[in-house]
Amino acid sequence: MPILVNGQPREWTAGLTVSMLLEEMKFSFPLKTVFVNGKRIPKSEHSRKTLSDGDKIEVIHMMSGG
Amino acid sequence: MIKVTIDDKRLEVEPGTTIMAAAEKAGIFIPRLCSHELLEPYGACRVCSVEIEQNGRTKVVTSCNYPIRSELTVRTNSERATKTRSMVLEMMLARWPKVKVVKDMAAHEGITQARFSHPLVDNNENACILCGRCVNICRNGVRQNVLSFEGRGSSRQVSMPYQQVPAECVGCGACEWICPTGAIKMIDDPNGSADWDRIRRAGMVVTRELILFDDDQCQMRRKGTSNLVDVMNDYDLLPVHNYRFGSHPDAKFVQSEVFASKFVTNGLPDGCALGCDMACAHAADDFELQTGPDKGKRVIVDGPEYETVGGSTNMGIFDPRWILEMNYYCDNYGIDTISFCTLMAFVMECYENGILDKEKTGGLELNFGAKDAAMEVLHQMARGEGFGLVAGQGIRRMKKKFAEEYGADPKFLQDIGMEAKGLEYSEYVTKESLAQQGGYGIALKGAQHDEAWLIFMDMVNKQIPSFEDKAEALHYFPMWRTWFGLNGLCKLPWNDIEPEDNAQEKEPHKVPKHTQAYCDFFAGVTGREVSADDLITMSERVYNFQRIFNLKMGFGTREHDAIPYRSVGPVTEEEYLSRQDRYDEQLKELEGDSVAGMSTAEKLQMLRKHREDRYAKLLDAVYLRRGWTSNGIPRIETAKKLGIDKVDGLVELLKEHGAH
Repeated sequence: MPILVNGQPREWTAGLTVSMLLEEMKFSFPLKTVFVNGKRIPKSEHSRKTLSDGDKIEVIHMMSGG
Repeated sequence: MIKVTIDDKRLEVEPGTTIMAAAEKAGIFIPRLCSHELLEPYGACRVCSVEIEQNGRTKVVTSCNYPIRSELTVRTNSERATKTRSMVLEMMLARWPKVKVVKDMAAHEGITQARFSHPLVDNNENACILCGRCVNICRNGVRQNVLSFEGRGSSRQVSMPYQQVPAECVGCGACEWICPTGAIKMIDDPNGSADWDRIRRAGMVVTRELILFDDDQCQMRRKGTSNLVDVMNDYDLLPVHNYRFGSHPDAKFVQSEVFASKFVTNGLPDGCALGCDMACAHAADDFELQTGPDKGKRVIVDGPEYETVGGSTNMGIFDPRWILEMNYYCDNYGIDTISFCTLMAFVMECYENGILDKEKTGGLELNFGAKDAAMEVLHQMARGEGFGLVAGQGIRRMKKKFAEEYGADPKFLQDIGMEAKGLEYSEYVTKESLAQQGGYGIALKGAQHDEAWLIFMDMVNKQIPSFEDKAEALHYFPMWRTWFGLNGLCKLPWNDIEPEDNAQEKEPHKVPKHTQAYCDFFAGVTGREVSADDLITMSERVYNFQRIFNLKMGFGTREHDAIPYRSVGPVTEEEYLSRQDRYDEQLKELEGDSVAGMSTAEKLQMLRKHREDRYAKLLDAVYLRRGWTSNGIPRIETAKKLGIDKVDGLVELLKEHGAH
């Protein structure tokens, strides 16, 4: 079962952390908040938080621009 | 984690946590005066002194700036600790006996009156107690360095250079806000606002966040809007080669750090808005020009903003020095960098497609990346000469000329000429965000993103999937962002810095705490209480009036909300193939496996039909949400609801265009 990132399926690999996922997806915009299965994961925990198969991840980018 | 014991309470803390923070975690209060959440602790007042024991040795330290690095025992109430604090506070109480915060802290230590008199006794209840908070926030928080201490010993005082307000003071009021005694008073509001205090309190909401979070958020103070260059390149949104692509490996040569570390030396506010401590406008000092009438001069270049850099990558130019030179000459010639870059990107694509050649450009080879030739066109535009006379007319007129005089295919020119309502597009690739396509197309002034920037909400977050969701966003945000224009305010402090808990809000994309600050600001200026909904209504009235004004001038119907296909999807096979996986997958979702055997040309056509239908449906949904007809005309009942129907001739004009 894949993980869902903002509703889009994505392959899951064992040991995948929030930080690794954000890097893989090139989600570099700093004003964003990550929720895993509805629970907010503070930035300080991104590198420690490992994702499980089937997790639903929301990476909410706050608006910006001009 | 490190074990620490504070007054017999045991807890574990992250390495580097200060004793004061650890004590707060344990529910133990330590008195303090100079300490504040916005300031790096600096241990000046010594009121927070505590005794620590480590490896059998004890000493007194200031708890606000003592980092816990290894196992530690802290005693806040040992004899040595209380004696140290009492001594400090008794001295302060003797000198400033009427200052409330001194009396409160002294009372916490059981002192209500000093046992001795002080030679410098000051009975003012708002006396300055030399805690240094104001100096610290000005230097390290707001980064203006206007305030400092002068003198030593008994003559020490807080001062400004030569006792005068210097130009660097932005009047932000952070010093007054952070002063614990009320010693600093901002001069009365010269503009006669209803509630000056309320305005400054609203401003401090953002000032506080800038100090605490900007370095980890957008770095507006250090980098300004050019921070977005790197981000847009990562998200495939940075225009390259006339919006054909959204990223380029050479973007690293013009990323924000290049400008911040190598060119931008002027960290002071540029006068964009006095009192703004975001101060995101930057300048490159001592920049030597290589071309044009000021060749050889060393100048200050005000910028570059994101759009100026994004416009350059759109032309395939990745040279920071060229960007600064173009920025300087655009500013000095009175030419908008966005329009210049976007029209030049169009010219370059026309050149690469043989629509233009050296004969038509006066000998200039204008391929993508031709920076010297592009700079020459800029100078020619300013002089009103040569090909500059053609390019300077903008994309809309060039399209007509190239079709009529050069025999170019008008349909292809329409597809790649990135303008709407005659205004050149700003610098974002919108192909994967339908909502943003609407943001550009429906915008009243033409293809500008300042009414709505919805790409992240739509394309990345997938928060507005349905047509109704997108229409709601294309109602709310253009109205909200119009409000800033109505009030002469910049919108960057609204959402380029955000509260720490914004993500937990019900509607975080609206940044509710900042919206409330703007309500306070409005009420503080006018004396009229307003809600967030009231602000939208103000804009809706003006916005609809502007739409009707467009109508009167021949621009306000559905046909004028049309956009070039380059902003909707891939125009050429090359573009399709550059993101083939993405487009193939989208077609497969729409049409099933039948797309597998199709040629690229067939797939391009199918995708185009789907995307153009989708844009038409978006217009329908937005017009419906705004109370407009399917031709994009405000309905008469909408005009009535907004109270603009009494304007002479307005209802007749709407009726003429089929509104009812």
